[in-house]
Amino acid sequence: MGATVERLREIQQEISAYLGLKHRPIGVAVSSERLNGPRPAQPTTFCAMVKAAMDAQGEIVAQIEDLTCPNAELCLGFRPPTYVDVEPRIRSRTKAVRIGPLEGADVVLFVLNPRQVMVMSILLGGIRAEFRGETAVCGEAVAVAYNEQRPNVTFLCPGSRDLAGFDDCDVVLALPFNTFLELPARMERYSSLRRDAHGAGQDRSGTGPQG
Amino acid sequence: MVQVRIDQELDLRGEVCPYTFVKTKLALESMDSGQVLRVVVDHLPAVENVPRSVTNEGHEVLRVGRISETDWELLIRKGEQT
Repeated sequence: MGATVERLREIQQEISAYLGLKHRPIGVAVSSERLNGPRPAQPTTFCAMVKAAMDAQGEIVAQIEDLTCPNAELCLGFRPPTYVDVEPRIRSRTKAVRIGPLEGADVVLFVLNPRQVMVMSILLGGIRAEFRGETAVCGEAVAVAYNEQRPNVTFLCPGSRDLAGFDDCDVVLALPFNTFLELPARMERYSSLRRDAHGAGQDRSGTGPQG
Repeated sequence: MVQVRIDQELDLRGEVCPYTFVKTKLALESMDSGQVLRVVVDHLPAVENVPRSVTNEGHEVLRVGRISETDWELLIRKGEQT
């Protein structure tokens, strides 16, 4: 199932307005070949790159030498473990990941508050979430959605919360790309759940859109 | 296995990433080059994370081994000062 860049941007805007998102959903593409594209100015964690991409336009292409957290090297498939297996992880030999663009993405990541997760679970007909508070964005989000082609919710991990700038109330939802493409039809079916549908759903947590 | 003299021990049981690496790094900084640090962890990602991270920092991993059902020991020789 394909979609043009323009249609993907429309879906991104539609779901952002529907949920009242503070951060834009972004794509992560996992590649077995090196990719052209802007590299990080300096090595950092994968989760920090994801957070940065959500708050800015453009893209980031990361190779193994750009990652400062070895957990992401394992979970994204850049290298196999040496001493003990760490799950979940992508087992294909990854050479690069592209963070940001929805076009060509394997997984789409959302930063949500609990109410938004509730709405997404209704749209998706339920979410079976597995999380342990470890290797969250790289493993619990990207690797699970990539490997199992199903949504997953992660409540993040100490590294992502303390080092990558995620707020205490942030939760990350990962969708396989094809599931993301199904969202317009699901939003139309559940138009009553749109954030401003009843003039209610006031955000009292301070986690909704600014202004 | 050749016995290695341990110069400092660091018990990080109950600690999780990224603080397993952060505290290991801090301990190594207080040591002299060539000295050996023994780190005990019970957080599985740390068994992979800490050796990789300290190697990237120029230290030598002498051993990574399971010592009980839950615990692992990491022996790390501090690298040359840069």
